[in-house]
Amino acid sequence: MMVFPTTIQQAAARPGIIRAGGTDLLDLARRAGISGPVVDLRDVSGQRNIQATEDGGLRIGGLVTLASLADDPQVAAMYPAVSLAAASIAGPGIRAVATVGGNLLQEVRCWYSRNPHFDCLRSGGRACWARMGDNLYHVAFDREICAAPSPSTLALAFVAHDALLETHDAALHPISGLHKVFDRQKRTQAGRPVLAAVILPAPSEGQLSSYLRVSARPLADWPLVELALRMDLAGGLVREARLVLGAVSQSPLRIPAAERALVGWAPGSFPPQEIERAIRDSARPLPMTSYKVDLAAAAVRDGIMAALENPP
Amino acid sequence: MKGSLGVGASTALLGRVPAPSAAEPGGSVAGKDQVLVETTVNGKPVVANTHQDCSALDLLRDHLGLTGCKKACQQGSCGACTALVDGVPTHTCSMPATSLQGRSVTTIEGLGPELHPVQRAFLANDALQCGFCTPGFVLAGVAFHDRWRAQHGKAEPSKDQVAAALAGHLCRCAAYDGIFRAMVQACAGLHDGDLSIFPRRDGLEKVTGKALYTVDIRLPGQLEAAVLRSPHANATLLDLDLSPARAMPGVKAVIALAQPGSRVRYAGQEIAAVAATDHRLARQAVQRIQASYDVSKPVVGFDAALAPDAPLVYDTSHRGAPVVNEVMATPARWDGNRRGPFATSIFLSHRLAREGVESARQGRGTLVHERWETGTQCHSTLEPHVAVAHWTAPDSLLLHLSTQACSSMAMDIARRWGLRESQVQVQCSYVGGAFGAKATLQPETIVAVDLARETGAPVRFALDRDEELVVGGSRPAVRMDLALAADESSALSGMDLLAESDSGVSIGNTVGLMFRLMYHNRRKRLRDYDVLTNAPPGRPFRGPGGPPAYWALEQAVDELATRMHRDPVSLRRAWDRNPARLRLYDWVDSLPAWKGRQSSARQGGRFRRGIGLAAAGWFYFFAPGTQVRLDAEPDGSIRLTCATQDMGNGTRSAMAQAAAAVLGIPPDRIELSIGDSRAPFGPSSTGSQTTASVLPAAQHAAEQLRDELLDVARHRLGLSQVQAVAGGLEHSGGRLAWKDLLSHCQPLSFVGRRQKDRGGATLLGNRQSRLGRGQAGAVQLSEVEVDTHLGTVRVLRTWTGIGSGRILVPQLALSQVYGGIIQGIGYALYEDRRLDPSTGLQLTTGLDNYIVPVLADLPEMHVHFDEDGFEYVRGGSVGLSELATLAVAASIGNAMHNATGKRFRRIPLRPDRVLEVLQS
Ligand SMILES: Cc1cc2nc3c(=O)[nH]c(=O)nc-3n(C[C@H](O)[C@H](O)[C@H](O)COP(=O)(O)OP(=O)(O)OC[C@H]3O[C@@H](n4cnc5c(N)ncnc54)[C@H](O)[C@@H]3O)c2cc1C
Ligand code: FES
Ligand code: FES
Repeated sequence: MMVFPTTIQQAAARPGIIRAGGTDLLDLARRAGISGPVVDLRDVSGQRNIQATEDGGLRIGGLVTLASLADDPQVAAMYPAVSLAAASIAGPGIRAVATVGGNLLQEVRCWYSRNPHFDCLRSGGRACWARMGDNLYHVAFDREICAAPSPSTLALAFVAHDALLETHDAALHPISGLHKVFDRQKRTQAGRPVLAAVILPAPSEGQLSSYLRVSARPLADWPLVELALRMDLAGGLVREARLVLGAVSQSPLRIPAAERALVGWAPGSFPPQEIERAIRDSARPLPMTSYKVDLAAAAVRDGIMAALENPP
Repeated sequence: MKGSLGVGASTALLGRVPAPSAAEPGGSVAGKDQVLVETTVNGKPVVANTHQDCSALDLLRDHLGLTGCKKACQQGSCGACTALVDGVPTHTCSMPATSLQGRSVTTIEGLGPELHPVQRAFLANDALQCGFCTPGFVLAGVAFHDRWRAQHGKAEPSKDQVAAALAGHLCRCAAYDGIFRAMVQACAGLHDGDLSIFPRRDGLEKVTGKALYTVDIRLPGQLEAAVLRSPHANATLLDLDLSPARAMPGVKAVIALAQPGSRVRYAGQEIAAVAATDHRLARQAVQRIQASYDVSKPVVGFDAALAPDAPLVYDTSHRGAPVVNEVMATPARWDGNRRGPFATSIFLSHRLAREGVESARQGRGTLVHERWETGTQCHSTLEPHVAVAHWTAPDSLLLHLSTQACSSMAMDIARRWGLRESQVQVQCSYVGGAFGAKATLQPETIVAVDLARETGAPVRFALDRDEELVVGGSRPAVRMDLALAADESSALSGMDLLAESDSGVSIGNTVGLMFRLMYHNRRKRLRDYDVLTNAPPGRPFRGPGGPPAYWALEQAVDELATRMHRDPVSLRRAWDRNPARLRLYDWVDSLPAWKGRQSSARQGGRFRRGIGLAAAGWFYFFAPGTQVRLDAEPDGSIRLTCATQDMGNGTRSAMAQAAAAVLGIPPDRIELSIGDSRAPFGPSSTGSQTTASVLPAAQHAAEQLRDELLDVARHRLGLSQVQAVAGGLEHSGGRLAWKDLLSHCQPLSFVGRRQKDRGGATLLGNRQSRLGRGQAGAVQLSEVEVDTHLGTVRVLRTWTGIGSGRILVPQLALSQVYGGIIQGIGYALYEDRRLDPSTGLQLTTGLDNYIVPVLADLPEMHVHFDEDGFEYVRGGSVGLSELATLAVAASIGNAMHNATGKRFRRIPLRPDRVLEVLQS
């Protein structure tokens, strides 16, 4: 059973799983062999563009494709981290279809939870197989019982920019509440929210930002560790910083102590030991993931350098 | 897939169906799970009724029959399914069919009718082997090219730009070098004009998507099969109830593949199979089958298998244990889960070897004693294992099969189903990759044949990607304890190897053979063990046993050279007796990059570079029974026929070239028919024997034609001073082309045979495959760059020396070598099958987490062919396909050492492992 609402408000009112690009949902349906009702956003004409907001930021429609996001010159100029993050995902043949909303709300990539033979915490089972088994690609900053890292690359960049989520009812929510607002348990119920847009606040003057990923293979590989970084400057010194790690924790991981360590310094002259210590102190690796802590530390060093290369 | 469809004219249908957006409040509602889609495909309007979970790929392939869109990974990782949607390359497997509403789709079939410059560039640069990935690459390439030319004119794009545009496309044959060159040339406008000559005979069919692979076959009334596989790695099947599946409408047959009471030894083992009117239904029916198991703890990995209290993989009988390699397993002792040793050396040499090692250990000489480990590598050909079986009469079977052994497969099938060979016809015009995994009769074929017999209809069974990765074949993981000793005069004084291979439930690993092949010496003790585990059986993989063996041996030699302060080339030269390699060492010494290499101690900083050398050898096999029929017609046409196949190695081109060379005519004048078992016996494409078999036979057939036509000229036409020249003959009164002579003849037919080599062959083998005398040799150099912060490794440049005799079609030989190198890079850096340690279920079930190389991995590759030394071989050349991949990982290992001063003993060289070694 599937419906094609023409507005996201209609979509929110219908029961069934919301389908945007479908790149993730098709894979899940194929693996499971069955699927329930679908609320397909194909005929929704709004939420497909990127507009300037009144306060000088950008409003990115929830149905904007990753390709449009990566190619948008305004995004590249104002938020390099967002642009680079979008461009790093999969290849052009997926980015043409995949959407911002789908990217934020995709299922985890855990090789247990996606395998129909394993019943895990996410599918009604009582244990996390990865925790007891092969967790080579799982979290290293362990914060919750399911050991799968948060899959969304865009989420990192959005967290770095303190983005807001706009739902179909025009309500705004901080990005940190992503999974509270879009409760996985309720995702097929009529009345659950539909993402309308992501709102990026105006970049401060002289803001620096960057995104980078570490993966085994160059291009079209999932990250082992990824990083989004933003630094707001005042008088040549860092006034505020966001340092967000991905693929290492159950949600995009900010390291507040490292962010604090950046404040007050001129870009390029940071205290590397202090930042590295902050990262290592907050790590809680699984048996096979301590390498990700090393990678995170190295990625942060690289990310700071990269940010300097992306001046506004 | 259920559904009706209309193409073109049937847009009239629209009038009768409510348009999808005529909506009730809350949007339009489609019928239960069925949705009408209205779109434009290759310029024609299309209306189709699809399932809600149907992908755009399903619609294009299954509903519209546009088989140029290939299904390979089904999850967005490979790009084989690419089509242009409103001009934008899109992975159609990951896009719902419903999203095509109102859009315009172009598939490979919709390009043309003229070839696009990118297609011409692909042909000219031989940017393909098996061709299965080609339509996807071409379409993405076309979109990139057109955009590039509009923006940049005829400027050349960089490698990074091409790699980024083609990110998300995989070529398992690794034709990346040709693909990259093709893209650069096309963008630079070098292929705007006419099609230049191109080396690959079936290239045109492949770049236009016209080549029909087994997965593309659709016979009238064809059913689709699916298989229930055991979710347990070690269990006894208690009960099997097929009736719920049988009761489903559309299900035509359900058969048991395992009986209650039987043992299940790996997760993925076949339990039952269903044939139904479409694949989705077949899969649903499989899920309805009730199977219950008595589950035991499985044995996963070496340590679990060898633990004192390990459950036994084969507790009562070992009979029926599958054999991992092409050769029969020799009898050996079983000790728990360990079977062996299979000793490749004799007792006397054992003692000498141990003495040599011992004396080096005590300081008289130098000893390297290490443990080396390799991972499990899956073949994962882009075209999965697939069979379409059709009983055309109760005793007559037509089987379309993706196989690398058309002739011998037909024989095996005849034997299994009690038929005469003449009653079985195996067809495989195009094979989307094989690499060793498609040489023997396997369950996928049996399922299709049995279900076709049961239903009386044609049945197709194609593995899905997860099945392909689990049961489609793998190169076993190996761990090797190797002691390698040199005496004080730096002569090889002892080689003591204990190799253990985990090929799951299969036996017969022969890693030690490679150690025997290299560095001829009596002082060797070589012992092979199979370690049985609850994992799927391994299958032969390009150079079985080779890459792991060389990973250990060639690094040990390198380490020994380092410790003895000897130059690694000079040490090998002193030990080696292979004439081909001895010449190749001279070539290595002449390479500026090698001469100028730095020692690791001289490097600092984050990025370290190093160059490593490794050598390798491979056997020379051929199929003595090979026959090539040549038919020549009065109209001048000449056709070669043989029951062999082309899996991307270029069999067609080699045959044509061999015959054309005898007659002095262009190869494209010769027609070819291969891929049908009813033709005269042809070799399996295993052991790199195809060229060494078909080439001389094609040559022999052409010689007979030439001699016959010379005879006709002399005796029938009464010409004098007759003499063959290029393209025909010369006589006292002028010239005659072969074509003119043929017009004087009835149709002629000759059978060319694979004649004996000068000096004969060895006694090992049979009509289908025999070991010839002499061995091919190779040397491999790789330059790596290691990022010591991130643990990532890139191979920057490679130099490969190949000594396998004459090179007939250089461009295709190069393609083989390039592919072998890049597959070797994948083996060394990425490829890593992983099983859950507690259940034995496979975790790497997609090309998202089973990682293979992409275009961005392409190094700068230099290849040198040494063509001497095989003059005694008919045709002058032995195979090179396996040779090219054997030493790659080892050379990377040595390069890593040169770069970092550390020894890396385990592959793949994942970042976590690299960091661990660097920190040690
Ligand atoms: C080869 C490959 C590599 C990849 N690499 C990466 C990577 O490195 N980083 C990364 O982040 N991703 C990666 N991805 C994942 C990819 O980004 C996602 O599949 C894609 O973004 C999902 O978008 P979609 O529109 O297709 O989502 P869909 O499949 O349509 O939906 C996904 C989920 O989001 C929900 N949803 C979608 N839109 C909305 C909405 N507006 N409101 C509420 N719920 C909504 C759906 O209900 C569903 O639960 C990769 C994918 C592939 C195939
Ligand atoms: S089949 Fe679509 S990307 Fe592989
Ligand atoms: S030619 Fe690319 S997969 Fe074979």
